[in-house]
Amino acid sequence: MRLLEDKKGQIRIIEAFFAAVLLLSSLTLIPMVQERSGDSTGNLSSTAHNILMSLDSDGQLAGLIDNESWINLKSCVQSSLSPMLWFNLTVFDETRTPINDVPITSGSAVNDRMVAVDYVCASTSGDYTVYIVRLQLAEVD
Amino acid sequence: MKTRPCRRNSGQVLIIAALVVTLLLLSTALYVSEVEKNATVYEQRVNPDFSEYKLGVTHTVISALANVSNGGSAGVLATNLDQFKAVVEANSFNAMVEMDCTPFNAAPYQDGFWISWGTNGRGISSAYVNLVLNSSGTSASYYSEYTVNVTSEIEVAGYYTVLTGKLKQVNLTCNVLNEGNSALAQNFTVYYEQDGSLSPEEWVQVTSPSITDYGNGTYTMSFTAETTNPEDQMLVSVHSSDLRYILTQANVTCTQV
Repeated sequence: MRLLEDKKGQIRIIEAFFAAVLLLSSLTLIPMVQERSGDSTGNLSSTAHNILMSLDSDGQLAGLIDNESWINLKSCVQSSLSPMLWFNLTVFDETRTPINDVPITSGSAVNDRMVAVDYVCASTSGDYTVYIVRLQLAEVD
Repeated sequence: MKTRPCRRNSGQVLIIAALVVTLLLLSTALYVSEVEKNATVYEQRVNPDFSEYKLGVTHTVISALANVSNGGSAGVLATNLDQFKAVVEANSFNAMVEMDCTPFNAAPYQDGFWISWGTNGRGISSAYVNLVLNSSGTSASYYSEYTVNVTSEIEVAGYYTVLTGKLKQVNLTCNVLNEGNSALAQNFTVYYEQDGSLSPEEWVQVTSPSITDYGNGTYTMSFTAETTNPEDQMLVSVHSSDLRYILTQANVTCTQV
C-alpha cells in the first residue's frame, strides 16, 4: 500500500509534466500558424512580379516581344526561375488578344495551386506598343 | 474518505485545463492572423505595382523622346502616356488605379521636352513627366508622386592640326551621358562645315571617321577634313544615338594646335 501511494505522487508529477508539454507545444504552434497565413502563393506572386520587373528594367522584355523572340523569352524566364517551379507565359496586346503563337512554358501543369501575375509592359522603341504579359507559376510537387 | 475521488481526478483536471488554455492560445493566434490579413493598410508604404507602372511610364517617355529627337511630333508623348494609362486602368483587377501623367511645362521644358543642341559642344535631349498614382483596394489604399526624367547628353571637345593647305587633321573627344551617368552610344555621325561658317550652312558628312570606344562613355574620333580655304575655322557637328535610340547633337568649334 505504501508503495502504491508513493507511485501516486509520481503519477501527479508525470501528469503535470504532460500538461506543461501540452502548453509548450501550443506555444511552438503559434509561429507556424502565423507563417501559414503568409502562404506560398504570396511568395510565388512576388517571384513572378520580380522576374517580370527585372526583365523589363532595361526594356529587354518589350524588345523580345517586339521581335517575337519567343524562344529567347522562354530562355530568359527559365534561367530566372528555380527548376522546381513550373511556368507559363502569355503575351497579350491591348485588346487582350494573345500574340505569342508559340507556347512559352516549361511543360504541362503539375500542380493545381498556381498563381497568375499580369504585368503591363511598354516598349521603348519609337514604334510605341503596350503589352500585357501574364506569367503563371506553380510549385512542382 | 470523501476527498479521495477528488484528489484522484486532480491530474485529469490539470490536463483538461491545459487543453482549454492551449485551445485559447491557438484560437487567439488564428484570430490575430485573420484580423491582420483583413486590416486596411494606412501606413506610408509603396504599392508594389507602382514600381511596375513607373517603369512603364519611363519606357513610354524614352519611346517618345526617341521619336521626337529623330524628328517626330511633340504630341506623341501625351498620346503614348494616354495609351499606357488606359491599359493600366483597364487591367487593374485588385484595386482601382488612377494614373495622372503631366508633361512638365516650365522653362526650359516645353510640353515635356527640352531639346538643346548647342554650339558650345554640349547637346541635350530631355523629357520630363510628373506622375501621380492612386490605388484604392479592399485591403489597402496607396498614393505616390513621382517624377520621370529621361535625359541623353553629349559633350564634345576637339582640336585640329593643319596638314597641307586646306587639309586638316581633326581629333574629337565625346562623352555620352544618360541621366547624368556615363552611357554607351549606338552610333555617331560626324559633319564639318565646309567653309567654317554657318551662313550658308554647308555641312559635309565625314565618311568612316576613326572612332575609339573606351567602354566608359568616352569616345575619341579622328578624321581628315578639307575646308574651302586654309584659314577657315573648323566647325564640327556630332550626332549621337544612344542605346535607347535617342538622338543628341552638339556643334563645336575646334581649336588649332
